[in-house]
Amino acid sequence: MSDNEGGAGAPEAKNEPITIRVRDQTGEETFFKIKKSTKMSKVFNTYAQRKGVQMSSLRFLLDGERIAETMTPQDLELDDQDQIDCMLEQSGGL
Amino acid sequence: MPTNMHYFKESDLIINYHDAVIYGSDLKLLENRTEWLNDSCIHFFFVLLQQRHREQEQERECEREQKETSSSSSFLFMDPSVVSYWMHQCTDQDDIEDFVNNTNFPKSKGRNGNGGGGGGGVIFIAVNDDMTLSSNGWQIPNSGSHWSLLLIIVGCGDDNKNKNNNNDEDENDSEVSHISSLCFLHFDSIRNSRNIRAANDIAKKILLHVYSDDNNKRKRDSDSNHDKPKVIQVETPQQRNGYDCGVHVLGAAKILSSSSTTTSLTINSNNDNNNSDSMNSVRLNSLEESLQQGVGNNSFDFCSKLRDEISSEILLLSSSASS
Repeated sequence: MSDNEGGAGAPEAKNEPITIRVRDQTGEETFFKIKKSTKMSKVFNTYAQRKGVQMSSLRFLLDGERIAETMTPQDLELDDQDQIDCMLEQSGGL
Repeated sequence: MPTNMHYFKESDLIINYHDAVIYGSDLKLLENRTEWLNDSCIHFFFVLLQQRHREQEQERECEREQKETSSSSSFLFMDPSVVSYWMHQCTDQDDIEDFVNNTNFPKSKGRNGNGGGGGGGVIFIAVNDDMTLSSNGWQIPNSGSHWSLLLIIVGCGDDNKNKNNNNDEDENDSEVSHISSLCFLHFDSIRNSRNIRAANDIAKKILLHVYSDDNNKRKRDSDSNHDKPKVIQVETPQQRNGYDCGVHVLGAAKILSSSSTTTSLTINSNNDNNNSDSMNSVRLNSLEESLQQGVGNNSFDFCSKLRDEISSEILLLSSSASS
């Protein structure tokens, strides 16, 4: 964040909405426009609703690391058009 | 607190422990004796083991400072959803690089002489049959049918000895240490299940991208099986039902990461002078023994207790978070 400061033309950059892309297991992408201060839980819940699945069956990753739902794009240093991955529940017993 | 005193709805978020999230529906899988475990249950317990290991290491840190012994060995318990990502979604070079940089893989030791590298370590991976590269099942929710455990031991074998013997032949020297620097052990509660295929695929991808230095040397020196890591099937207590494999994985991970067994995994590897071909049979036997002892004669009881233990941990964390 602080790297971008000093540019006189971008005073509003701090909380300008960004678009993030959620990629699912089939490669399909869903776009969300959110503020950098919005908690990721909002994205996750909306995504689950849209897909018609329980939140408990989805896991969200950024570069292969779990994203805690209390984090914000700012915490995660997400930029416009960045992509996160959505993984599905796995199971086994046999 | 008895485990039946709570009431959670399936959709209730019970705890958020580090990056492990447990919902009511996950807890139910642990509490109902015959349910299959999902990756959330496994990841939660892995995080718990990771924390315990961290605490142990911190204690040892103090002793180490006094004795000036070698550096610490690190354990990495991998989240199954992360492993699934790694196998199926992490495909282009950028993604792979980001992933490897972000993940705390143990560093192989001694590659660049005494000072370089880390102290080695152990990677714990819960293998699901849907992690094979050829699988399509992973694209369906609630996929998979069997869990097993893959252990990757980083830095086993004695590099320094090899170095001393071959001071003038750099190539040769590297080859020996590399072959001995990684070994892959597979623990399966159903002997001869198909999970070995997934375990092989995971081992191969880790060897290729995470320990690629090792692999490049290997490629140069012996082109016969450079991209085929040898995954050893370890004699493992067997499940006697159609639902406990996930619990077996967690039990084995718990026993194998406990302090006494850790010692045989990492300390012995420093002293194991005469065997450059990964794990020797003595060490393998001692692993099998401690696993057998830890599980005992009745694996059903062992799994019942472990399910209870994990559920109680979840409830404990949830009550301490809300108070």
